[in-house]
Amino acid sequence: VNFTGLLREGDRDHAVSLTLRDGELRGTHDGHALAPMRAERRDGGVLLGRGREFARAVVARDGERILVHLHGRVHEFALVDATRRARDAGGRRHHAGDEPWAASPMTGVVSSVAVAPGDAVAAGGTLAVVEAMKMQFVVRAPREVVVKAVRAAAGEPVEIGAVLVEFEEPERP
Amino acid sequence: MVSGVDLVAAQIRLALAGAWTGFPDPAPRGWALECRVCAEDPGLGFAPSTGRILALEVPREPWVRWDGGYDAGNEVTPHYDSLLGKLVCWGEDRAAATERAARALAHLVVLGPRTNVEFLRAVVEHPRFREGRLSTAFLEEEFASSWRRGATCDDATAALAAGAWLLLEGAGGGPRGSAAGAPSPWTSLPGWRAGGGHGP
Repeated sequence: VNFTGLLREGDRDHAVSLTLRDGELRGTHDGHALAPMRAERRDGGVLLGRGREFARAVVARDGERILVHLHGRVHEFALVDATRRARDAGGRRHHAGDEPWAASPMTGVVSSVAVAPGDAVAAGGTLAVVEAMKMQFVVRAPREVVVKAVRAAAGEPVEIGAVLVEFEEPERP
Repeated sequence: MVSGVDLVAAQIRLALAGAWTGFPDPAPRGWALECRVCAEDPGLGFAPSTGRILALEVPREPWVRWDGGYDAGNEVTPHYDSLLGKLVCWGEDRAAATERAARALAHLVVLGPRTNVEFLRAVVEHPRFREGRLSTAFLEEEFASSWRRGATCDDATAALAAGAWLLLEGAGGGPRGSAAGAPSPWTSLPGWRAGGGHGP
């Protein structure tokens, strides 16, 4: 059995290719050959061993999110498929802070919306307020923007990542 | 933890006996430290983080108590506050209590919503915290308002663990996390109870 895939943590991609045979794991990481190690399932995770050293990782999966707890730290990987990676590389990807919209930072309820279509908002100006767990989070303009559309209303529930306000696309040089 | 009195047991004994007898002297002894573990994302200015708890492992070591109300499979919703549990650690002195808190935080596993566990560990491991040179401005002075730990030498090992786990899950043949003969986090978690653990 084998696994080949791209695991992305933040902006770091790990190209992993693994083969398991008789409990022994071999393969490559970012193209470099790995020294063989033992691998087995253990208590909701995996036990890796090489020589006398062992590491136990607790692993859980939520769709394409792979969560790994190892040595007291949680690593959050996205399982990236090759087609999506190619699309990202095609130049249509919006970088953080550069998107023509503002999204909800958390799952909660919209407390208030401070803007309407056509409004010009200075960088850092309040667009909306989202509330969850008795905490309010102010969604601010990432830069100087002109509001194109408002997709949220006070009192409505929102998911994390939901678009609240769309901006006019700046003229591209 | 510093008094050695189990308050719940004391209440039951008091109700049964009808009088306050036979309790130990509740003079405080040693130090106790409480870490409030919350479903908050330190990388997002401590905004609340919601979702299903996919795995929860509580440290089971002496002098550590976990008071929590969640188990693996539970949903953390936006309707309540973000507190998942309190990790209370006792030691003969402040240094010992702090050392146990750092170790217990490293052993506490919460997968699903993002949590402040690693941030709490960074706080109790901070030299100023260890030395007790604290003020109400400590967090502002020493930590960014959005805190994210740096890259670690474990990143590649974690990626390999993820790959190995996916591979082994595939090898199991069954639905993920419940392949025959393999323990899933839903069934293999050790039992625990609020107020359990080991107090002095």
